[in-house]
Amino acid sequence: MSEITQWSLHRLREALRKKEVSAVEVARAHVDAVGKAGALNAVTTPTPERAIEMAEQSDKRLAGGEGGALEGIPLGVKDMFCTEGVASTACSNILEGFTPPYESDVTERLWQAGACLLGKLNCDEFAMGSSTETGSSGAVCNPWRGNGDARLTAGGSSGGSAAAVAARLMPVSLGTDTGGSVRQPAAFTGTVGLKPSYGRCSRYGIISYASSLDQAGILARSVTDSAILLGTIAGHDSRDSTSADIEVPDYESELKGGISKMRVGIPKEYSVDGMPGEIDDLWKQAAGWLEEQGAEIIEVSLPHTRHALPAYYIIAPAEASSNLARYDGIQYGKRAKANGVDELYGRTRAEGFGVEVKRRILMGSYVLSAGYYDAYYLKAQRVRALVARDFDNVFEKVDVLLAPTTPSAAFALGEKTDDVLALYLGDIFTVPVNLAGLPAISVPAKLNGEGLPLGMQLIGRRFDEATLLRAAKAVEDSAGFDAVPQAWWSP
Amino acid sequence: MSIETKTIRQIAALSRLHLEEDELEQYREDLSQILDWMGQLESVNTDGVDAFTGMGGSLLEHARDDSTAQTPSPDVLLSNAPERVDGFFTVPKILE
Repeated sequence: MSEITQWSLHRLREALRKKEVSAVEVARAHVDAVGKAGALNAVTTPTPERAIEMAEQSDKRLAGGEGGALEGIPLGVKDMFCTEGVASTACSNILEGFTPPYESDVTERLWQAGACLLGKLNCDEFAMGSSTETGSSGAVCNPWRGNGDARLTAGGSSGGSAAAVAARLMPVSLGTDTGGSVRQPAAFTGTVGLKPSYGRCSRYGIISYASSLDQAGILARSVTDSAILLGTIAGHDSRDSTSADIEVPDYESELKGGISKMRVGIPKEYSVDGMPGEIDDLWKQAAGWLEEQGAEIIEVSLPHTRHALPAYYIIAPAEASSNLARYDGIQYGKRAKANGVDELYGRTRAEGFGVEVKRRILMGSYVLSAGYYDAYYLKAQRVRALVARDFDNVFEKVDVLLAPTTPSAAFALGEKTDDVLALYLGDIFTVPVNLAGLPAISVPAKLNGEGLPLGMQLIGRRFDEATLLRAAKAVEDSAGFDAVPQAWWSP
Repeated sequence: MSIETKTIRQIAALSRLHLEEDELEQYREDLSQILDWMGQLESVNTDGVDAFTGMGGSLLEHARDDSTAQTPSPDVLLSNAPERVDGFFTVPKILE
């Protein structure tokens, strides 16, 4: 394994600016790493030629003393982002062969800053899942195996993005987070996973799942790297009316300053029955770390926490059933053989969508249909208002919240595919944040008894990513997590 | 709560989703189980609570200039169509 692939985004940036390495050398090292990691199944569409070509352009700009914030940095993006001229399928058969004629806003910002595309990353079909097993490209395998040799999930739905960063195939990557799809895979793979506030980044060109919850997210190996990347992808875009027209701070320089006097809330409702002791212990330990660094720890209550999950699994499928109506076999993607137009719709969608997507479309149509709308959809939106109000109330008393990211470490592939509810319940700590539109981050904190990573989650006020990142840096500094998975996948 | 097969059939039709008989039964079971679990929301007191409708802020703040812009050419827009004739998307014959 090349040494270069071990470097953080921050270190690569310095080395490129000082011309210790060329962008092409950096790109080649990562292209090689991707090429050898087929066993992880993290990358669905590698783009090695494009990566080298973009790196050559970066070298020219660097030689001229120019270069953007990410000049020469190779990275991958989840297959949910539309990338011009590169297949973008949301890992769904229904978008087989779809090559977007346009670029998503967030990825456009990456290329303008000088980043180089290594490839599209595997995910659950239309980002619907928590284990990256439902997509058309098959399951992603977690680089971590712990003390056993079972194949574990890398989490989901951005499992490919998390596995690729954990396995040193790329220093950073993009995912999307609708109900925890960046934070949960980060926790399972020992990486940092940042979900910005709703509206912080444009959703233009992200294939829609649940529009009031979807947000681009970042996978990285340090809080600093995630701050650098956020500075690049954040900002208003007139093509997404829900993107916020507010200033984007310099997140990297905002990391300095420590957390003295910061008020950290511990939401008591995040302690749930059946949660392993190791997670509860880690939570207490992390609170201690923050206290040692000068923060004030305050127990707080978010009384509607346990209702967030069922509300989410009403709202998200409702929005999905509407968003996915566009896949009709006429404008793009797959088209089934059929005699009439109704049969064309029905057969195309039957052949194109997988089981979990169909389940959510049916759920969504059900809760939106006449007779059930008030009892399910409207009720869920009222509960959502209560969940958001809980957060508003506690953020009058504290600056950030500290909680676990997941109620367990990574589980075995296939373990929860037959038990839908068990899989949904794993999202219990991540979903409330999306309902309220808040920023949150998962930071790797330790290895558990089985040698698997565990993550701690911090939740911030809406649009206050700067404070959130500073608190995350404090957890990172105390945790000193520097474990690296053994490269069993590399021949 | 147990959903009837005919309800699933109706929902699938609304969703323009063709399902085989065995799939209908599987989704009937899945949805019944999930809706049972969602039933817990009934116990939440939401009297006087307005339904969540968005993240705040007025869309009018973001009204863009009323100016002309270049739209992609028909060739670009049709480039991903599974079937096309000349400059058009095609659908199966609708009228006899």
